[in-house]
Parts: sequence; structure tokens; C-alpha cells
Amino acid sequence: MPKDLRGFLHELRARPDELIEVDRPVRPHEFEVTALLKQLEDRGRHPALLFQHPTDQHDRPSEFRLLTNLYASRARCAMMFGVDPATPNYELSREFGRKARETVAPLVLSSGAPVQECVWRGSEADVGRLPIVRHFTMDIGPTLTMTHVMRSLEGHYDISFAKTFYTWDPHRMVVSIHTRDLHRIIREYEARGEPAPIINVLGHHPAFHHGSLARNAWEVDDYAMIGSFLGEPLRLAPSVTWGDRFMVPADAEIIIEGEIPPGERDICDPFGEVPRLYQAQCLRPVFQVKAITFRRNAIVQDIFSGFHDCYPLNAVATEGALEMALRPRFPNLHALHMADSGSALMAIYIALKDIRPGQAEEIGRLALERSPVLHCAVIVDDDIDVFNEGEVLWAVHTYTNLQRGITILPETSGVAHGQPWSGFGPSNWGGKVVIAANRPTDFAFGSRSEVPAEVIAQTRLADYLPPAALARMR
Amino acid sequence: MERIFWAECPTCHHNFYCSHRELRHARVKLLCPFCHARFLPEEAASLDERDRPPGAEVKGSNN
Repeated sequence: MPKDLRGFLHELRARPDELIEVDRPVRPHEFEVTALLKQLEDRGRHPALLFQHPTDQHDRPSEFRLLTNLYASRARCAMMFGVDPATPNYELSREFGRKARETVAPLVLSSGAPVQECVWRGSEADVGRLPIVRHFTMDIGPTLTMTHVMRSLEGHYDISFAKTFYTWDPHRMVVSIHTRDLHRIIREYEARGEPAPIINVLGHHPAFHHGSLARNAWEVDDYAMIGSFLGEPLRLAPSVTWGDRFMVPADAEIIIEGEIPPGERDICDPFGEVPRLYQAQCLRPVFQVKAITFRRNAIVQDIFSGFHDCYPLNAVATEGALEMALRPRFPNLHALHMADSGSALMAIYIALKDIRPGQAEEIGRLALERSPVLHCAVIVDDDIDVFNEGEVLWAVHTYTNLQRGITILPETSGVAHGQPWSGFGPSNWGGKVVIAANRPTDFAFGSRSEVPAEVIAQTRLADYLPPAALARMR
Repeated sequence: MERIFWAECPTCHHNFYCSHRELRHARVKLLCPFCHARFLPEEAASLDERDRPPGAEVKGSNN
């Protein structure tokens, strides 16, 4: 069976607490989905939620189901890529980095694409029939948050996350794009005065969406790259609007086929973005809906932006790219992690083994140069777990020399800083910083207290605590 | 850092913010996310368009 979202959910059902299915009707466009997610988040719980009976934008029962919070745990992300969910941290990041460098040629179907079991065109293609989530108080309206695909004039496909805003017009949305490659494709079509074909993929195997965050060269065909993340060829089918001039992922749940009319812009945003700040209202391209195709009993996917649902998404992709970029120059790189507290975008923790003088600043600066929005790098020794923020902050407070261990890179330093088009909302950034939080070795300095590891290994909680107390800790 | 301005909707008096570069002087009507009223920035009940204070940017390394 080709990999798809249903197959992945079937795997999840075999694991306790990973997927909760909700039968009670829910109104996504009236914040009810994010209200539930926020309460789970506040309890430190991050299950995926599958709503069986959401309403649509007309407040009627939708014919679609709604899935959210799927990416909120690294263990689930590990499962997506065939990594052991028991080792979901740096092992996963390294595997992502490796997969991002490979391609697998797609497989083209001539007929029988599951995503085209049902087709709505013309007046029937009303996006208001979808269960679209309105996420946050100041959001301009319900917003679709999954990946879009466009095709360059040279012929390769680009897949990127983008937001599509519902406008209460059944066939017209506004699409907010943050990525370099989709911007370039739109500009190319506009230069020719032609509408640009675009599709919104609202559900697929999660590796399809997650893999789209890999950073690759302009000319790489993302459909082939996604084959690497899936571990098998991505199945494609001709679109119902443009035929084989634009191929679509055959095993998706729902696809909205549309066009971006040249030069046409409309108001969109605010929207609560990944850094948990609203993106400011602005003008973005119009998405004219041409057709909606879907599987029977299809599932719309959504992302709970600014919360745990987007931390592993961003973190794993960036960690994988940085591992591949930094390892050749820093063979003593132990691990690195994009911190949850920085929304997996703005702060990185890097652990090195046997740090040489000056190396902390050097690797921190190089990491910061890789991303305009990454602005804080903390460098620690390899005995600090970079996936444990408490340990990292302990190292900062204990080891950092506040007069000599902090390097500030101003906006004039030549290191790329955030630009308005980066689209992640206002911030108070005014530079970048590298914090050396490794234990001093150039003079006599204390060492961290530790319980003997061999005694910990032999003295199991299960052998000492009452079963009821143990159960409460799970 | 992207400069923004806050606008107070003249209809419902909720506040929201907009890109200064794209919308402050573009003669484009803003859209209130709370009541969907459309209005020009000049028609807002109030505006807060204070920019980052001069000198707030970081000047250099402490190394």
C-alpha cells in the first residue's frame, strides 16, 4: 500500500495516547478546536486530535474530518520517517538531514488517483464547505495552514507551507507565502502576465508535509525529494484543471486547485504565526479556486501554529540542515537543538565535545548566519542535554562569563538579520547573540554534582515505588 | 524588524495591527478582524504608529 495519512493514523492507533478521536461535533471556525488544544497544551499533553464531526464555514456539518496537532511530538515525527520513536531527538534530526540530500523519482498514475474519487468544480467548489480552523483572537478569519505546490516555468515543482485565508467568498482566498521559491515562481508568471497554477494539499502522509521544510536548491524537484522522505516514490496524477501540465499528489486527502491572477492582491492577516506573535495585516496574492478534489471521508489537516504542533516541524528540519552544514568543519559537534522556547526558530543550543578556545563563538556565528530569524546561539559541553532546556539554562547561569562569554552581533555585523518579508511578525530583535556556556577549562573550576550512573541503572523506580504512584507518573 | 502600526476600528473599537510599509500610506482599506469593517488608516478611531526609538538597536560586541 502506498503511504498516506490513513495508513499513518492506523499506525498511531496502535500506540496509547498518541491519537485521540473526538466524536462530539465541534465548530473550528469559532475557535473551539484551538480552545481544546490550548487546554491540552497547558496540561503538558500533546496528542494528535482527529475530529470526526466538525462543522463547515456555513455552520453545517462538514462532510470532512479534521486532524490537528499531529506534529506536536518528536516521537510521532520519528515514526513518520522510519526512525525509532524511542530515540526521537538528534537521531531524527540527522536522519532528516540525510533524507534531504536524496531524491526518489515519482511514479505517475494514468488513472485511479484516490484524491480524485470526488471532484467539485464551478459553483460546487465552495471552500466554505471545509472545516477551516480560526485559531487565535486577532486572526482575520479561518485559515488553512498546510502545504502548497507550484511549478516553475522550468518544470520543477516546489512544495512549501503557506497560509490560505478564507474570505467568505466561496471561490476566492488569499495566500500568504513566506518562502523564496514560491515567491520566485509567482514573479515569473506575473512577468509573463499569466495566472500561476497553485494547489493546496490539505492532507497527506505527514512526511509529505514535513519533508517540504527541507532546504534545497532551486532546481531540485520537491516531488522527487519527498520520495526520499517517504521512502518510496511519491505517486502523482494529472490535475483535473490543467491535466498533465500540473501533476498532483495522488494519495493526498484533499487538494484545492487554483490560480493566482497576475498582480492581484488583497488584504490578509493578522494571523498568530509560528513565533506566537501575530503577523501584521498586509497585502498578499489572491487564490482563485478552480476545483476541489478529495477522497471519500477525507481528512483536512491543520497546524496549531505557535505551539508544540510546529516545534518539531521547524526544529527537525533546521537541525538536520545544520548538522549537514556544520559537521564537516566541527567534527566534535555532539548535538544541536532548536529550542522550544524560541518557537524552534529563534534560538539554538549546540553541544560540542572538548571545546577549543574560540570555537564556541565560531560555531555560534556560523549557525546564526544560516537563518535570518535565528538570533540566539548557546554553546554547551557535550554532557549537557541540548534537548533539556533546564540543563542548558543551568549551564548559562553557572558557566557563562557575563563579561567575556557573550558575543553580540549587531545588524551591521554582516550576519543576515530578519527582514520584513520574512513574515513572522514584529519582534524586538536588534542583533544576534552567541552565549558561550561551556565549563571553563583555562583555570581551576568546580564540577557538576552527579549521582553515580551505575547505581541509577541498578536502582529502578519500579522496584521501589508503589504501583499506583508509578502509574501516576506515566 | 518589521515596523507595524496599531489601528482602532471606528466601528467596533477593537485594536489590531498592520504592516506600516505595506498599508500605512497605500490608500488601501484595512479590514477589521473582529467586525470586518473596512476603513482607511486615516479613518481609524486611533492609531499607534510609534517606531522603535532611535538608538535602541544594538551597537556592537562586548568582546
